[in-house]
Amino acid sequence: MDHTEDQIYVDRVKNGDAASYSFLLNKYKNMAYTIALKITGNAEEAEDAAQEGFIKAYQAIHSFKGNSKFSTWLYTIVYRTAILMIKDKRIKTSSIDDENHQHDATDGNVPQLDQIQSDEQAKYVKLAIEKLPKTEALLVTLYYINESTIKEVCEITGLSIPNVKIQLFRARKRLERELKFLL
Amino acid sequence: MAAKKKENLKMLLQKMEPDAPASDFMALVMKEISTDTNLEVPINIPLQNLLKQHGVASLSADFTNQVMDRIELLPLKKQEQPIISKRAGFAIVASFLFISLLFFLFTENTSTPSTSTNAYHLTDQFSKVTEQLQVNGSPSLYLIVMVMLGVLLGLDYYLRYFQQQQKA
Repeated sequence: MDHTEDQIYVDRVKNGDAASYSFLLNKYKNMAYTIALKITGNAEEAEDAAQEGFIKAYQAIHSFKGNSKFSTWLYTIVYRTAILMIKDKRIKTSSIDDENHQHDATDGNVPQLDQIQSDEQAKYVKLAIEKLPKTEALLVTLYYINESTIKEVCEITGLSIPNVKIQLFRARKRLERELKFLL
Repeated sequence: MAAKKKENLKMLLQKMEPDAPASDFMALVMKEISTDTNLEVPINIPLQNLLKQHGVASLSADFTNQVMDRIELLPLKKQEQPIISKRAGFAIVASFLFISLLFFLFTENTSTPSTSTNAYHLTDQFSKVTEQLQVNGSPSLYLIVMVMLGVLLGLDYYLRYFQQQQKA
């Protein structure tokens, strides 16, 4: 259903209706931004990468044949754009591991579930994901949050199936440990 | 001297035994493997719900407008399509071959030595065809140029076609 709906809008854009692209843009902007954020580790750079990714996708939309989901195709472009942006601008991102001690939510007093409000939950989830190595955080985003299949994750990231599975397994174990008090 | 020192250091380091894991390490690994081999990639549903609820970062409200403003300034790249369709291309090539064959078949066969090779026979037939065309005022050079142009256009068409197929 989603796939068909996307294809309708893609066809409209291909036929010259640029305004139809805003539907696809609104639908996928947050996930595209989240993916870029996992790679760049910087909100401003991630927004630029997402924007560039959307523009590249628009310009290349005639080459989208519908063999895969539009979202998979789009995220592949955003992923590659963000990677290129890091390489080009030589962004120096701080190691997530270095920040572990500052943000470790499970260190010391473990908060009680009933005391934790939704925004606080969001904070702990965000911190737990931030603690993961970048690739694992990206894979978690694609597989658990976006519900992409393993094949789609491999298509977007260019990683092998065993590699994706191993990293997802490791990330899941770590997240379960980090967010035990919320589960 | 330096090499000797390096070698000594290497030997010294090799004498050290690797760190041993906890005694229940193997049991823990085997337990993990046995519980997770049945599933392709295990999913913890409460964890997934939590991640889905809070794991997506949101963008500023004017992101869509910013992108759309940039897009409106860009011309949408049209995909280059061959002028003639694949079927029409085959039809043109087939007609060309058919006409060529007719020319060769219906050209008068005069005094061709029986010992001549196939290549010689073909060039001879070709010159006869050009001679016939010259009667109508077309020099043979023009015919050759036209044939070569046809070949080049045909090649260009098929190379573009296969390139597009590969991209798709």
